[in-house]
Amino acid sequence: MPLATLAFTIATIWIFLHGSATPGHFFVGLIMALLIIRFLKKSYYQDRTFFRIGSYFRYLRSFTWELLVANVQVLKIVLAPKLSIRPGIIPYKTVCKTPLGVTMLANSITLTPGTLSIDVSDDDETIFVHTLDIDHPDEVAEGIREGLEEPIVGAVE
Amino acid sequence: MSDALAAILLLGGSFFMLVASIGLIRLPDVYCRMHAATKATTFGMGGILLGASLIFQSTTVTTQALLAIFFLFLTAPVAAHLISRAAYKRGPDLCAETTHDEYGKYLEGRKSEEESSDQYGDA
Amino acid sequence: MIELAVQISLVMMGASVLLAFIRLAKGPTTSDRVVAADTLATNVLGVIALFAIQTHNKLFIIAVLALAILSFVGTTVYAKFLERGKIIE
Repeated sequence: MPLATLAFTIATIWIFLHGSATPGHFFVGLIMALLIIRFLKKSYYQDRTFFRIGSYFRYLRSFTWELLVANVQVLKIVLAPKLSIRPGIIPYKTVCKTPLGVTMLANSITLTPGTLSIDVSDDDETIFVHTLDIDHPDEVAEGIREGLEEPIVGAVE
Repeated sequence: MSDALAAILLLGGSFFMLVASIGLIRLPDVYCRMHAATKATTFGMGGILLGASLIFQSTTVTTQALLAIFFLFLTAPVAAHLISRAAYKRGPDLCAETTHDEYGKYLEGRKSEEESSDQYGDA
Repeated sequence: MIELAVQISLVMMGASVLLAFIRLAKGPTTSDRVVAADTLATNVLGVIALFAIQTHNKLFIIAVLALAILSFVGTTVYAKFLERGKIIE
């Protein structure tokens, strides 16, 4: 989002943190926001896709579902009387181009069923994924593509 | 009603934290342990903090809890990524059940590429 | 009812801290110990949040927020130490 909107968002969060909505507190929040932006401007990745709220919600819904599935799966694996895992590291080719997209995808992969991103290749094209069930590498890749990559591409690319 | 929901969230959250620690003990190598540790602790913390915000019923606490949840979801995967990459570079130590290791091949390929470019630079 | 739930949760968190501590003490490699320390930090966050509910003190929730940030910085430093063998270059 643009920097001005970001400043107002931070000021609003400050009001909620404080719990009392007076103009004075909003002003204090705005001054803090300006200070934060002043010092962290260089590392802020500014995108212009402000109107894709719908896609963001689609991503959030998909991510929440995958998160629930992931935790139930961890529960099953850990509490099973006999461990049945076949771990391995597989490469995953991504179509995300922007740094934000690749970061979001790698982070989401870590929090979703049976997968953990280990490293990203130098050209930002391949994510190395450690998976707990290597029997079906194609299914793992397909799950990532449908569950995560498509919503992320819709939201930020 | 709200109390019952809060109690369920608290119990579920701490149960998932316990699952993460059991996984930490039971799973065979550092990467598998990371699976349990990252997913289950983040999810468990989310449950506990949501439960706390339901109990306190105050704007301040809810905002703080939501910020903490957002921050945990942002940082836990990054931390897992950093640790697993560092662990691999320190010495893979993959467990015996591991069948595929494409990352090792990639690292070797990159190393030999660097060596050949070094030779080119010397000449 | 909430009190009972908090007490049961605290017992589970205690068991969880204990198990993470066993891994921290045993861990064959340094990486295992770092993972255990990270889990331990998150467990402590949970204990603080439960403690806030038990003592009806809102201020502990902001301690959760601050400790979450600090533990992330700590884990990053550990990871850097694992990768390079020194912390400050």
